[in-house]
Amino acid sequence: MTLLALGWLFFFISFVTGAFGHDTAVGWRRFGCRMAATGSAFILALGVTGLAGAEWRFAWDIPAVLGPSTFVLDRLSGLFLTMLGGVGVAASIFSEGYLEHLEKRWNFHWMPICQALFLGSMAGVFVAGTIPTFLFFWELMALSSFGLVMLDSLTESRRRTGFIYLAMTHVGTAFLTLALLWPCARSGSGWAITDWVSGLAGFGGWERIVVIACLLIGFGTKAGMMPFHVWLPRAHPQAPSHVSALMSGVMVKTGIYGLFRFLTGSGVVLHAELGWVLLGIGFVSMLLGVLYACNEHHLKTLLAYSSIENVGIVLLALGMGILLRTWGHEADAALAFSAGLFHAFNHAFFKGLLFMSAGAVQATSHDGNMDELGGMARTIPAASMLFFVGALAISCLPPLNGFAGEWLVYRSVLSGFALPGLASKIVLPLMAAGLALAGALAAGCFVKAFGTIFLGKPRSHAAGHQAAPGMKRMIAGMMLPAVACVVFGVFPEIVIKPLTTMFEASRGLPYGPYALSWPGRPDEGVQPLLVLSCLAAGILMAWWILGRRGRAPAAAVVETWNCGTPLTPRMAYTASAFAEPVKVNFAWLLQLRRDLRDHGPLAPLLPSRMTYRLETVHLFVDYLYKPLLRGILALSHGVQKLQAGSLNAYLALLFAVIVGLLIMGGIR
Amino acid sequence: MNTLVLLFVKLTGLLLLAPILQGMIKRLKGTIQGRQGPGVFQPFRDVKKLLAKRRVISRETSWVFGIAPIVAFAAVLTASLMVPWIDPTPWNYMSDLLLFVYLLAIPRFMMALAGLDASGSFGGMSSSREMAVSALAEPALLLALLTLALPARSLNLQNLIGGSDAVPIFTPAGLLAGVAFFVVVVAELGRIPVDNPDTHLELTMIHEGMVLEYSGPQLALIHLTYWIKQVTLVLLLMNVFAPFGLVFAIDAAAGLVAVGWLLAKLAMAAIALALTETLLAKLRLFQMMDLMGLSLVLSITALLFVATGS
Repeated sequence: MTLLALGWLFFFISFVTGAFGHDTAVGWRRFGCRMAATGSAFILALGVTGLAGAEWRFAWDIPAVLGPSTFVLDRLSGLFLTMLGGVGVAASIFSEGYLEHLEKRWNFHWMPICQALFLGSMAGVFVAGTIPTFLFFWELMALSSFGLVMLDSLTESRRRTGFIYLAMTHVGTAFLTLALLWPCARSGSGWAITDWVSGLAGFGGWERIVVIACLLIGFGTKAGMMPFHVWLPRAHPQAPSHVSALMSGVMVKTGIYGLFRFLTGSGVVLHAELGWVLLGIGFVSMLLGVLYACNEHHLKTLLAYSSIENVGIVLLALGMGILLRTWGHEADAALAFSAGLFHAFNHAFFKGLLFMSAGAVQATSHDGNMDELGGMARTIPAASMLFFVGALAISCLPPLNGFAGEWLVYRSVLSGFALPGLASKIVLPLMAAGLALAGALAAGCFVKAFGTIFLGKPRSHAAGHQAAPGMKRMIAGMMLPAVACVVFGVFPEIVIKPLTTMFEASRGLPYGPYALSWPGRPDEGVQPLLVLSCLAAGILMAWWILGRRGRAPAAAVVETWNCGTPLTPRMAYTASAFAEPVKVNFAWLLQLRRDLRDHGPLAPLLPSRMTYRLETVHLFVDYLYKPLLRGILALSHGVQKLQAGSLNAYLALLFAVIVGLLIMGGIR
Repeated sequence: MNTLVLLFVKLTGLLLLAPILQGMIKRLKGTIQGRQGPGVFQPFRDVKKLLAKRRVISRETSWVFGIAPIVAFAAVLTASLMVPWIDPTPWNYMSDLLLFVYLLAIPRFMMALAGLDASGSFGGMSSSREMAVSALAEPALLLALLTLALPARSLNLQNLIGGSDAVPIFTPAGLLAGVAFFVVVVAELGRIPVDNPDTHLELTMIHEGMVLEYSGPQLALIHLTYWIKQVTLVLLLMNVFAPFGLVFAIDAAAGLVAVGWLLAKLAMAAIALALTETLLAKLRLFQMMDLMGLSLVLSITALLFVATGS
């Protein structure tokens, strides 16, 4: 409790700094960033104690605002507070250097104000024990993040993005309010989460379906699950990079937290159908997310789509857990839940790292379009190495943490082979193959991102010029998540063990001698430390083989062979070109719109000028949201006619309503 | 101590057998095509020559170019230790199937980056193709292995091999999965019909384009990495789907028979690879989807057999 209070206190100081500090004074700004970092460090400490097993419950009556509120710390909150604290510390340190290149453009009062509110409200979401408190912090989080997205809102398209974000997040909150308050109101005993569970248990068939569907829409919108993801790839890239890191790394996880908090607790009655629905949604989010990411040539949008993919993987594990639980495989279900949570945890760190690297790239080159970058491994070598660590982790290459998380997700999906029914024996292995497809596409996607940004010749002057001011502080901020990626990859048991003790069914299972193991199956697993030492030995051996060139003369450094013509940056593959084979292979899913126009030759005998456009149809935007929006607009136009029309029509309507009400009363 | 000796024997055997398998395939291909072909030990001579040569590197390259072949070599070597040769039990503590699949993704990742590093068009083109083909090959590889792993209730390669009494290729599911796996092995090795290892024609190349800028000792290391990957995948295919002559106890006579079987398996694989490479033509890049689809469909059919219990 003290840690939470201290965390909030320092966020408050940061808030005050933002509100009253002089916006051009560098000292004030640094002080604000450091206060935010200190607050996050306290939250991190709180999370670690929670994850280690400390529990407390604190009741606080806030009259007139929220009524009786409780704040609860347990392992689940601890896990998410650890993410928040870890990414928060890194992002705050990073922002100190990152803000230097933004000096003139932004309103610096709002930045620390919104950021402090954002960090504090997310901590509140993770510790709230009563539903009104939870919803209060949820809304505060949405509004403060909206403020951060709108920091740079000079152009029309940026304001439109902000509007879409605000609209989507409030539609989600509306569904969530219904889903959370209705069961509590029915149970009548109070507003705690346990009352929600008992209220839900009292519901009949269709009422429960409505509540669960609303819950899925509410939390799914925040988590960026398809088809409620449309705001995410627009809003995340628009925020400043350290905020994008927090949004993609942690805020998206509040949706995941909600789903796990409300659906995996003891006493929640679930049906196998929900498991299948979540598996389906997870599968679609995962595959479409990574395909859209492959097609994207703006770095931060690419990272945002990749977040959707990873949320899909987490949902896959959640659905699998629910499916296993409904069939009575309690222990495997608990492990599937742990797998999902562990992947969400890992994603916070590597995605935070990647977004901050993207910030370093953008600060240096003033551009996020990968087709205009290149050669930055020489301009900002340290940032390139840190991005490399993040790219390895997100492509789930061993022995980093991405592999550890996905290994557990694979195991949980494959443990479904024990379930009865042909569907699970065929569909679940195919889901595992889908996971492999997504992993390989993600690897291709990050080869593309790393290769076109950091390797080759610079395609613009700024990309090859010089590092942005404040790069050292940015690097310092990025070190923390990079270390986390390695540590949680090599020693995954430090998180998995507390996670599996969270669920009663897996508490007594033998863990086995392996760091990465499936409790209850002690004879199998992976020892990441051993993999790491084998890799190190292999590297030494390769070094030895290469070192034998003592007899050979020193290397000659020459121009890349280009069939005898001089090499220009335009000859290297761009991000768009790199993704072309994937686009063609998956054209049936991506629905590419090609537009090749011949404008005719400028003069006789000269080749004609051509333009080529390639567009991806975003299935959900074009086939779901646009028709929906058109429908709503048409409906409101119709209603408008009635309202602004003649008085007679208006009176007739009133009369019809009264008659209708009377008839309904009569039937009663 | 015992483990260390075994490790040493295995590493030495690997560094000897990997070039020999490559030499065998090249020699057989020559014979089938009516040429004399290079000798079986030619790869050793190639490596020796390359190790003594001077390196020529591009001035556009960064730190990635230097570490890529080294890391790729280490990852392939680690993966190769997981596959049993004559004895299915010694490395039980690190023979996870998923680990194997993802360790093989490391060299791909590294070499694709190295291809982009020199800023030429060829490297980027090949990297792009490699990542697109591998995106299709990886699920096919996993699914083919899963058809055997799932009924055995174990994702450990060692348990998989000693697991069942029946020889998998003599069961319908095992035969289908074996063919599916063979298709993936051909794709992973970049052989015809997926890629042509003997050409540097820009229209066709995948693997060769990525390593175009390498020379001297680094190129030798890359060749060695490729050969180790080849022998590893071939042995995995053979020992999982046709586990003849494996030793389950320490026994000198059985050991000798097992070594004989090992060489026979390598010879059979060399013949199969040389034949496919001679008889088939290279597919267009965008027909790769159909080839991997074929592998997936075979695996799914095998899964149906497994799931219905026949």
